Amino acid sequence: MDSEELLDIVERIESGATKREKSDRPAVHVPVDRLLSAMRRLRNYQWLSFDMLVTHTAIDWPDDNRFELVYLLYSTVHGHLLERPQ
Amino acid sequence: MTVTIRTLNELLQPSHLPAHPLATQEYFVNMGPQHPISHGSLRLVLRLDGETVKEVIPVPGFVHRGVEKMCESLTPRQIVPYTDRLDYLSAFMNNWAITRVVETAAGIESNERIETIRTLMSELQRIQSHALWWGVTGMDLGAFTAFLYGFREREVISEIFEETVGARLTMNYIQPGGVMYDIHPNFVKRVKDVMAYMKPIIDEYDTLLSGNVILQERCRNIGILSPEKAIALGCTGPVLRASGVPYDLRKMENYGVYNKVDFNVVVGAVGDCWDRYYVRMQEMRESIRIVEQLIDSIPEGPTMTLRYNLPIEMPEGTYYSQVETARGVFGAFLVAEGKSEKPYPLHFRSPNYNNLWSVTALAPGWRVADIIAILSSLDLVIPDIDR
Amino acid sequence: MGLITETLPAVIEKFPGGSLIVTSMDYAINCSRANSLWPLTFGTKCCAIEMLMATGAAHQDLSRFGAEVARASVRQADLMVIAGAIVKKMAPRMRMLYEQMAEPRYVIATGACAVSGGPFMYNSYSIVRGADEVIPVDVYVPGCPPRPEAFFWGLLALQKMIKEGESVRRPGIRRKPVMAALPNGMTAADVRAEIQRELEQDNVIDVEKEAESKPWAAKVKEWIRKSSSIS
Repeated sequence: MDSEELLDIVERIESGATKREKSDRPAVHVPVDRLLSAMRRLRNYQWLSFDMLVTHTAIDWPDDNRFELVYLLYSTVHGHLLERPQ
Repeated sequence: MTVTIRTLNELLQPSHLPAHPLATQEYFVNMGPQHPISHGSLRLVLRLDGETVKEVIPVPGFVHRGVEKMCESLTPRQIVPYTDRLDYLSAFMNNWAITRVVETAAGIESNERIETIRTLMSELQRIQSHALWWGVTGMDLGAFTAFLYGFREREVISEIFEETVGARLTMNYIQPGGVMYDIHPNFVKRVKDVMAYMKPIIDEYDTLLSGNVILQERCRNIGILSPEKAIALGCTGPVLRASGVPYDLRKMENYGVYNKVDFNVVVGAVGDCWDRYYVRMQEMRESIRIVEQLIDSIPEGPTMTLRYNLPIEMPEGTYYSQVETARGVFGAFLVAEGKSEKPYPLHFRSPNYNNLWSVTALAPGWRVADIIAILSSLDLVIPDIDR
Repeated sequence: MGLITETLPAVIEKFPGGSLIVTSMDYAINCSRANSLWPLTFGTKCCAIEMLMATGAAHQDLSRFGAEVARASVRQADLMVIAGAIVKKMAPRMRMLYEQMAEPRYVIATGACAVSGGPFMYNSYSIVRGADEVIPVDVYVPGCPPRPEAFFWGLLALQKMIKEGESVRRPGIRRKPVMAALPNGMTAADVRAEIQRELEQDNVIDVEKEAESKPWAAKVKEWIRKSSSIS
């Protein structure tokens, strides 16, 4: 599965998820109130099955007065990596 | 969504008081920060009932130097030596992780020779690191002789590094755009000699310690980590592979020249301390195989494709790269603003941090002495946890 | 196997069946202290691998210098090797460990981090810049990390220092750290200004004032008076 297909699937299963530009890995933006449901779907949907949280970090943007949480997910079943800032 | 946060003070309350004057009460024992098992400064608070461990609360942070924050005021070339000082037993691989992320971001090409040298150095260091771990595990479990043997082999490989790199521990060798120096003229011959010497040595390790009754008794079926739990906790490296998950970035991520060599990913069957022990023993053998396949055919070419005095320009965006160190996945997450050479935030994903928290799942129910075996089999390097 | 690094200041008298050594009590005690240091297994960072583990192994053998009995308990140790960075969370713990050690106790700071903060000296919010801000240090071994041989040199320097101790009650000479942390409210700019002031004071000479203070000043005055009266 290449990164375009992966992003297509993610966008289809989670409303509100948008593709993130300027990233070397497939990445999606998710609004904060959809975070939990998005995470559940990403883990449970069998074509994705992102079961491992590789790392979790945050970026602060003082100009925009906001924080961005970054979750790096990995699927040990399929071997693909998704970076999903929100 | 609710999140409960428990402070350490709350955690340090016994869950029950004795109902009967003769009944036992729960009590707490501190392991560390100064403790021979911690190999650094790690504090573990054990909640004990008699000698049975009820809960383990790791308290890291005794070596927290704020490396990630420091990196925000450093250029990529200046960051490289700081990665040595995180997991100092995998210094080459840590250099490689930050180098890879910078190379991806700035679009720097490297050639076959550079990648081969990087792979060779990393595999040599994996053998060195595992040899050291083997010695220290022996010492932790009461066999001091193993320590002397483990360090004998570490010294032999250290001399190879010293000849080419000039350092024994903190390498600062793999740089964005290549490697710091070309390999020493003696390198190929010495590596061949050492590999020929190392092969029977691993068997010697097996005869010396692996079959030992005490080691078997203290490791077999102790601290079983199920594959689901290991994945959920984010464990990587030999800890995850010992639980039976064939997850090795050298196969998955396709970096270096790992796709050209033939090697196996070693997995365990049960996920106990013994599996974690033996996975590392087998990994040493696999690493020797990788080195032997590469050492005869190091291609010609320049060892640095980038001029030192030019700044590395990274366009705006987020970048993540990871490599497999001796302890698991070491990743670097970099956000470039596109304005200067310096990264805006830089986050290191260190394998030891996730491996440490597996002790909270492993330890309950075992005795205090088993905690030593469990911690030893996790092979923690504390500065990598604290950063 | 042992290394003889100095001659024994003693009188050896031979008599049938053996020989008799006559020396001072202080020397004998200081000598035994110097050659039986028991280090504490206390490593915080990379230096611990080189300083405490590699030196304890067979290739570089710490027991040649009588210091191989690494103790995990503070109360049994008398040499603390600070191997690695000390951060603010660790500093009180290290102080506590030091105070628990039995006297006489000695401290070797190995590696750039323990000497001055090292590579983390700048831009770090949590590092203690040099272990000597927390506890007194006897010997500094610089390097990042130092080679085991460098550590041996530091150990020999410490042993020499202990042997130089005057009496049993005052073991060794505890020298004050030369470059400790700056006092509160003082910045590097103040220090630089002070150095500048001192330098200017030394280099600017008022010739007349200087000449007044010399022993031949009276003669010169007399000579000037005479020569002016002639004309």
